[in-house]
Amino acid sequence: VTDALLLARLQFGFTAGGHYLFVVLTLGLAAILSIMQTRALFGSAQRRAERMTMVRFWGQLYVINYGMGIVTGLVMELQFGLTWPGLSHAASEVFGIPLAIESLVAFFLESTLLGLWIFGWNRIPPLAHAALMWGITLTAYASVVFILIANGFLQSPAGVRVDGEQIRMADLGAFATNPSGLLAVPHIVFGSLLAGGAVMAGLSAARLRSRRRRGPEETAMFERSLKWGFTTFCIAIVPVAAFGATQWGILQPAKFAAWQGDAAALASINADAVARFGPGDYLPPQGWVQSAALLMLGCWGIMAVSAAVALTAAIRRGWQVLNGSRRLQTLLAYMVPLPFIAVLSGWVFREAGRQPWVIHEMLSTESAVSQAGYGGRLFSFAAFTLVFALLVLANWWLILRHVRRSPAEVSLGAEVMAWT
Amino acid sequence: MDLMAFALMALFAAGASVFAGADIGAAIRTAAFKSNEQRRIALAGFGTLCLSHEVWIVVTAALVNVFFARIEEDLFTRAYPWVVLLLLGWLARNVGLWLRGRVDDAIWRWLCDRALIGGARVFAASWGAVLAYASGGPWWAVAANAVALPLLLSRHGNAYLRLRLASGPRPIKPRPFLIGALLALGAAGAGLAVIATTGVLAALALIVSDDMTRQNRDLPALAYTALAVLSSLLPAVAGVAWQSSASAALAPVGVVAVCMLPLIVAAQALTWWLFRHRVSEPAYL
Repeated sequence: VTDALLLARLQFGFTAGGHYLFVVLTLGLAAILSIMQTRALFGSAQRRAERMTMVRFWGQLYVINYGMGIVTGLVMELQFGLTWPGLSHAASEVFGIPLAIESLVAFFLESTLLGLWIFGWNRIPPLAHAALMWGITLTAYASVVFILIANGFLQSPAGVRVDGEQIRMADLGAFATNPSGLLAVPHIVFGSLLAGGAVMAGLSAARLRSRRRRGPEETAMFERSLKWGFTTFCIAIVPVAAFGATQWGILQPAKFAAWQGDAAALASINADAVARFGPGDYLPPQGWVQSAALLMLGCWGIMAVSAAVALTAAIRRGWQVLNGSRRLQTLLAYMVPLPFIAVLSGWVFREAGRQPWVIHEMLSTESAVSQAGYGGRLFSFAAFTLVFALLVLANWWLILRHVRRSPAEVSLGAEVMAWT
Repeated sequence: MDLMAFALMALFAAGASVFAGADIGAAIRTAAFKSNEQRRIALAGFGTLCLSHEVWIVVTAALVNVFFARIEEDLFTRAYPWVVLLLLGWLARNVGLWLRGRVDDAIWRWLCDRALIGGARVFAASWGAVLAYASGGPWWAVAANAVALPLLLSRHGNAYLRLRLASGPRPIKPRPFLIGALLALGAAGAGLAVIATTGVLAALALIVSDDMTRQNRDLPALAYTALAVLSSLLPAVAGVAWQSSASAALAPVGVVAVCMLPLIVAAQALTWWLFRHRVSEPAYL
């Protein structure tokens, strides 16, 4: 691995990982908010107002996080061209298709609808406003599908053929239904719900646990939020693992062997690759693959046990136990970082495990990396890594700050009363 | 296929320059508002539409990436530092815009204002530089365009804010000859006819726009600054051999783009219509 390649990989890894920390929470909260805002359309005036307060409170947290997700996403869009021009060079007419359609269909609408949602509280009737949130959620999850089709192509190309230096489309249907992309979709969806649920439940629990003074309405809102968040968390915890497991069957052989630590299999895979592609090392970094997978599974185990403990208590002694027990609240509060660690290690496992290929057995990272000068590369690595780190820190500082405040101080949709 | 790819890309590039360009310029011009309250109103003026404008740039980038991959590859390699700066400027502007209202603290607002205004300036300058690189200009053309675009976009942004706000910023000196000359220098990579058209068209449009502004005709004033902004695209449009790398394989993207176009325009129109009133109150930002 040359220095320039290492820098490029680190830059892409850090920025993609940083971006995903925002994305996963955006996706999870969007789905919860859609249902919550729909619920807020029904019931007595008082119930509607209570639920709407909750939507606005978590909605503002969602918007803070979304804003940072967009700015990091803008960087990601140009990262491929900046860092891996060889990828566009060899495969733009294949790889570019899902990415372009994602921008055109999903992102364009999502962003426009989000603008209407944020600024339209006092201008758009409640039913249409709730429908906007559903539109945002649907387009956000549509993005997931297109991005994973693109990623699935890199993992295990399907429906394409190699024509000299070019990779060309052979069968659009096979390309679009590539299982290594689509099988990851439900895993990502439930992972996002898990993160959204953990954040909502954990931060509410932390607020309820805190001895700081708060009004009865505030307490009631956090109790309701805890219930919403914890329910989502419990719904997602088993499917996320089940849909993760469905992908084991289609892992690249080298990734699977690296995870198992099967030296004999690794040696034979490498020998086979040397025979096909010439001398070189065709194996992924085993330590990274194994520790990332273990970290992901470990986080899931802790979350599953905690969910089971809290759920058992809630079933045996009623939901009220979550509002009263400081120990359960502490447990839930500690869940907040776990889904984020798990999804990042999941991505490291997925991406590090297919090295040295950017397109599996078609294009190596080494031949795809940008030829821009080392100084420029170093500057861009340092700048983007620093900026993304600052954004992640600022985002969480603002989120925690937001949660410590009272729902009465929410600025999102502050004129909402015009409609209720 | 080539023609459709080019037409789509040109259409979205034009939309990006006019709409997103107005937001960049408006961000630069928030410097003209001194009090926090006024600044928040200015942010509400352009921030409400910012999300729906910005997507034009995103789609343009996606279309260039898919239809003109060779050109993008070449451009990004040559203009690498400028593309990095463009991204960092864009990022800073958005962070400043989105986070400014989140913390009620003077130092926080000062930081966000620096990110917003400084980021927008860097964004505009590197946008100009990348355009000059695209049309194949020498280093001084890149430099001239990098100076021209912030000047041009801040005029466009000023006209935009005057249309959007109940009490907009004062008219800004049009400087048509300076900007026209800089744009002509920036177009050095293109042919003589393109150089002359770019410079003259931009200068004339700025003069007319200034005249409209003085008559308080805000919409035509904005339309003419938009024309000046469009003329800055000419060298890149005319100076590049837009040989599409598109083959029949890319037809699905073209079909999707054409089908989405009415929906996209409708979503934009709905947004403008909903937020058509002049802004006199701060919003969420």
